[in-house]
Amino acid sequence: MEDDLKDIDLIDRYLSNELDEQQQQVFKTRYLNDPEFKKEVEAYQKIYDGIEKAGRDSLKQRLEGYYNEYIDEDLSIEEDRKVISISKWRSNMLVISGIAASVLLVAFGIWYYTLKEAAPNQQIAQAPNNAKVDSGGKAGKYAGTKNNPSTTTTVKKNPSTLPVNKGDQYGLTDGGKVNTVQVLSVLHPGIWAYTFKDGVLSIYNNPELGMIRLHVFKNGDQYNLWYDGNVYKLGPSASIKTLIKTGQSENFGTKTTETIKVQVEPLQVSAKPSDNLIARLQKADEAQYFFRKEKEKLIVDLRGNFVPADCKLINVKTPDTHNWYLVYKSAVYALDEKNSDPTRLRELSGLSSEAARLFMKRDPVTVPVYVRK
Amino acid sequence: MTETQIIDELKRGNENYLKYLYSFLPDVRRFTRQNNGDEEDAKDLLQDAIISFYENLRTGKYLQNSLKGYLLTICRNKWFDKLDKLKRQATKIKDIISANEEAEEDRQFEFRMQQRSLSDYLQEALNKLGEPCKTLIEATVYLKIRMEQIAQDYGYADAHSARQQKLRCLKRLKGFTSYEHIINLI
Repeated sequence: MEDDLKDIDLIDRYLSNELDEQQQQVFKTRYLNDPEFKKEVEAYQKIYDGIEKAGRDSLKQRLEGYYNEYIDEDLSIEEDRKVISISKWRSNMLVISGIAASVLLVAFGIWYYTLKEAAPNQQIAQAPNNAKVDSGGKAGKYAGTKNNPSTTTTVKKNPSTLPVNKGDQYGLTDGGKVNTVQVLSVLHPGIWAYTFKDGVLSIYNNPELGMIRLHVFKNGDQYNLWYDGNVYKLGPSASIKTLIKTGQSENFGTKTTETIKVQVEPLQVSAKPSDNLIARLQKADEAQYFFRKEKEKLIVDLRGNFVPADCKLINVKTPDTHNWYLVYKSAVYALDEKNSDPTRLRELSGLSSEAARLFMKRDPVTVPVYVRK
Repeated sequence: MTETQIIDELKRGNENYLKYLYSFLPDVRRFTRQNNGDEEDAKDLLQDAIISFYENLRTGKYLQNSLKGYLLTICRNKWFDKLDKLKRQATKIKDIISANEEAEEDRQFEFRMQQRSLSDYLQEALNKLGEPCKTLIEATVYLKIRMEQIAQDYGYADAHSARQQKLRCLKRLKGFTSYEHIINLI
C-alpha cells in the first residue's frame, strides 16, 4: 500500500464495514484521540453519503432516457419458462401458419397490384382525401367491376403516404389555426448578471454555472459571490444588474448559519424579443418544421401538437454562428435553417445535449453564507 | 430478449438493459388504474422499483426467480404506503390546519432543498473527476460491487490494483472540497 493512501484505505474499510472487531477498536481509539483523523473520517463519511445520493439521483435521470428508448423501441421480454414439447409444437405451428399467411399476403399483393395497374388510376390519384365521398363516387363509376378492390384501398393508403399534404389540408380547411409564435434572441456567452433580494440570488446569462464552484460570503455587511477563484460584489437589487468582478481570492472564509437561495436562470429568461424571423404554427399530429424566405423575410413554418402561447423560438447568437431552438415547456428542439423541406422536429436530451441544458429550468439551491474577516 | 439474458447483462453492469424492464409498465399501469392512480404514478412507481432492483442485483441481494413478480411486489408496497400517507394527511388537514404544520412543511422543504445540495455537489464533483474514477467510485461506493468483480469488469490486473486506483480517486475527490464545506452540506 502506498503510504499516502494508508489512511484512506483504513477509512474506506471502516465505512464499508470491513474491519474486524480488533481493527475496529484500534480505529476507535485513533478516532477519539486524533482530531485531524476524526475530521478526515467525517469528511469521507459525508462524501460516501453524497456518492450514494448522487448515484441514485443520476440513475433516476438515466432511467428517464431508458424509458424514452422503451417508448421508441417497444421492447418486450419473453417468458423464461422451460420449453416443454407442447409449447414447442405450438410455436412451430405458429411459425408454419405465419408462413402460410405471408404466402397468402404476397399472392394477394400480386393480384391487387395487377388489378391496380389495369384500373384507370389517374382519377384515383387526383381524388380528394375524403373517403366517404370517394368511395361513394367510385362505387357508381365502377358499378359492375365487382372484384375491383382498388377504390377503398387506395383511399386508405393516400393520407399515410402523403403526410405533408394531410397537414396542409388541415391548415387550409381551418384557416384560423395558423398562430404566430414568440421569437426571441439572446447572446451566448452573455454578460453575467444578477438580482438579489429577499435572500434569493438569481443569476442570469450563465445557465451552465456549476454550483460546486460557487460560494457566497460576507465582508462586513457586503455580500460577495465567489466563483472559481473570482470575487464579485453583490448589492441588493430587484432589477437585473451586471456582475462586477472585484478581485481574486483563494478562500471564501468560514461558514455561518445564515443561508441564501441561489437560482440559476435558464438562457431564455434573458432573451429579448426579436424580429429577424417570423414563426408560424399549425396544429398537426406530427412535429415538423421548415424554413423559407418570403420578400427577404425568413419564415419558419412549424407543425405539431403544441400550445402556441407556450412556444418560444429562440435565436442563440454565439461569436461565430447562430442557432435556432424551439423551447416548449420543458422540451427543447433544435432547428436547422438549411431545412427548406418539412423536417421532423428533433428533441434534444438534457442528458446528452449541451444546448438543451442551456434552457433547462434548475431548482433553486440553498447555500450557506460564509464570512471573511 | 429473455429475463435471464437481461439479468445476466445487468449483473455485468450493462446498465443499458434496464430499458427492457419498462416492458412491465402495462402491468403496473393496470395495477395503479385499479387503485386510484394514473399513468404518471405507474411510471414513477416502476422507476423506483427498478432502482431498488438494480441496487440489490448489483450487490448480490437479488435472489428471486420472477423478475416481474419482484418488481410488481415493490410497486404494490410502495403504492399502498403512499396511499396510507395520503389518507393520514387528509384526516390531519381535516382535523387541524395550524400554522405549526405550515412551518413543519417549510422546514421539510428546506431540508429537501439542502438534501439536494450534497447530491448535486457530488454529481458535479464526480463529473469533474472524470473517467475511470467516476465509474469506479459509483460502482464501489454506491453499488458496493466487490473489487474482484470490478477488476474483471473494468480490466484491472487484479483486485489490489483496482483498489489502489479507487483510493487514489477518492483522495482526489476529497481534494476538491474542504472539511468545512463538505460537512455542512446536507
